[in-house]
Amino acid sequence: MPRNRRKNANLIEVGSLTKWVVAAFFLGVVGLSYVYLKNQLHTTGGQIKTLEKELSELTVENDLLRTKISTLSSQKVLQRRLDQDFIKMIPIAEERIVRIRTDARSEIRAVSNEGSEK
Amino acid sequence: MKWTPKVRATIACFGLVFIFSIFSGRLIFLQVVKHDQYAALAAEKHSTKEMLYARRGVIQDVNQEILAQDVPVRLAFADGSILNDPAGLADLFAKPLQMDREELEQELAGLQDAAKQSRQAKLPGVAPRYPAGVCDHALNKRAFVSEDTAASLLAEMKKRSLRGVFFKQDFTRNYPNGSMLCHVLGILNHDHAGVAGIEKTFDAQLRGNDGFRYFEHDRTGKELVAYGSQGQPARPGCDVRLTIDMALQNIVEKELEAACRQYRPVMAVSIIMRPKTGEILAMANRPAYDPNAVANSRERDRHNLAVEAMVEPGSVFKIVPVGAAFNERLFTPQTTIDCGNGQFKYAGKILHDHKPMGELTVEGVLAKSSNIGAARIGLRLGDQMLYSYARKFGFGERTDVALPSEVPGAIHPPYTWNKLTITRMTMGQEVDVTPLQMITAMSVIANGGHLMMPQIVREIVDDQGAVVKSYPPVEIRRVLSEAAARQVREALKGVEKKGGTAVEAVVPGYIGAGKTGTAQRVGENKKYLHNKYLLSFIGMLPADDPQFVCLVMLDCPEVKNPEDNYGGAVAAPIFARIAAKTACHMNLAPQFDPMQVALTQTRTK
Repeated sequence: MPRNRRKNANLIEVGSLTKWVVAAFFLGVVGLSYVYLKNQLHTTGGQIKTLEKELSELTVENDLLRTKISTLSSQKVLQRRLDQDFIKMIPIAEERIVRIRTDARSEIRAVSNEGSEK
Repeated sequence: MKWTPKVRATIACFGLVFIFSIFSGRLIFLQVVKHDQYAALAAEKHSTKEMLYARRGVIQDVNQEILAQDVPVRLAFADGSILNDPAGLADLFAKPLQMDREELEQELAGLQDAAKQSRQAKLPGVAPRYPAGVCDHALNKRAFVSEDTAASLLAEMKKRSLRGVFFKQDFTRNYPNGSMLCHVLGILNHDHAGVAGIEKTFDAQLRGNDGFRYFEHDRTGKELVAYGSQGQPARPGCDVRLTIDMALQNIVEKELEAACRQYRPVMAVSIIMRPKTGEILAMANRPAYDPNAVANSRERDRHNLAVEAMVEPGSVFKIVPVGAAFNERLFTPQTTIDCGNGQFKYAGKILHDHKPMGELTVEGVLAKSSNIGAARIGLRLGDQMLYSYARKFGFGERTDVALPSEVPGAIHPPYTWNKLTITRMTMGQEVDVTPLQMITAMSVIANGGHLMMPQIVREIVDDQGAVVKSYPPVEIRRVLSEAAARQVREALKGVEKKGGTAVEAVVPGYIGAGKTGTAQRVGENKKYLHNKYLLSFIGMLPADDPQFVCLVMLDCPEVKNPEDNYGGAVAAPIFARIAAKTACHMNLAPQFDPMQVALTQTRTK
């Protein structure tokens, strides 16, 4: 290009261009971040929902197990098991029971303490 | 005007301004003026209201053993808008939902048609509006499906490419002890509301408050969690703790069951009560039913006879005139009464004793259950006083126990009596009472003269375990003085001694007291039957400081030997067995060693 024409040519203004590139980049980053965060929000929401569902299923399972426990430990079932000799129990004969009077407990405590001191 | 570029540009600008103003105006109209309408429409399309069902409270015994609880189950619903194969779905679901296959297919096809009609009737570009119930139609509210079954059915649906049936969470009531305590606990109806027993009385407390939740969903119905949800959480119902001790209930049920096998009575009732507080520790009736399978039971089996049956009490009622006589100091325990040769003519009718008894003390009248002796005591008391004491003992009015359908019984005022009434009422005729009234009256003797309100509920507890309401013992009134009650108790000891009417009620190791009842049943012709009796025994242990009172009552038992058809032979032994086990459970120390007594008796012989 001849020298006289080069003077009128539109030269790229690096400073200005950089400003625009930075602005565009910034806007691009902001836009992508928005999309990313929006997606993240959606994914987290989905995960929350899955966890809530799991929690609900665990609660239901817990309830069912609690029902099973109360059924298996109910008087009716225990009595049946006892009648079937599944649980071996015999009543304690009266002569084998030693009854401690309420007022005698303090004496026993005192004696036992003395023993431990030795 | 010249069409200069400036003019053309101005016109173009105004044109653009005009066009954009139209759009802006429309936008403002839609966003501002029509905001509410379109917001509601959008909410309707994208928001869903989900009900959060409250868990019904648990019923527990005094030791917090669970007696009734909610179990999570699945309830099947159909969505007509997406249903694709009614026949295929009917094949899969008819059996688990306990429905007729053809009926189910018709029901599903009907839903599909209703949805189709809605789609045809819709305006172009507008989503169809389905009638209520088309998209969430409950298939069989009575058929609950377990969690596992629901999961396998959904998997099978997917495998067969079926759609249109889904499951919702629900609860069903479970009674772990089956028929045990069924009349006290009661049952629920299909709307999960109590219709009998504690379930009915405390329905408001047990029920809880259902919650709800609004959430937004996308086009496919998937919840948009990011947008959050609004609503109110469900509040579980309160737990109800009873005064019932299931260990004692088990003892009573077992003995009553054995008695029913042996005697095959029309009905049987047994109650254990703590006399000092009025707490009911056990209550059993026969016939009974399983509340887990109510459909298999008869309506008449579901009545709680302990509070609903009105019966003539028989000789148990003699505690009323005797108690009144001691309280009014008209008689002492040792006052003698001439019971003659077993016949007493009064008002033209002859009153009989089962054998001639001659002269008896008042204690003897109770011990030998002399009708003539009781009649003479009644005559001394007079109509008004006898009636007044009968009312004071709680007869003729509801006990106000927290059980539904309680009847007050019937005791007529003296102005309606005939001349014979006073001699009949003293032996428990011409008066109708409930078994609960009978044991409550005996508790007056046991606790030193106080009429206590029977209690079946100890406290109500919220879902966090805090006590919302407790039910302390309530004294209704003082009926007898301490001394008069003790005198009656001493007299009742004689019933279990040699020569008394209930020697078989003796519990080895303890000194007990009680009273037999042998009431003739009234036939259809309103005359007393000679072979049908209501046999009862109410006893207390230990007699000097009763810790419990127990009633055993059998109506029209089939007794092999007619001579054994009285309360002392049938009901008393049942009482003895129940009382022995109850004393052991309550850790009541024996008052004497039964083995030593037996040895002493052997040595004396």
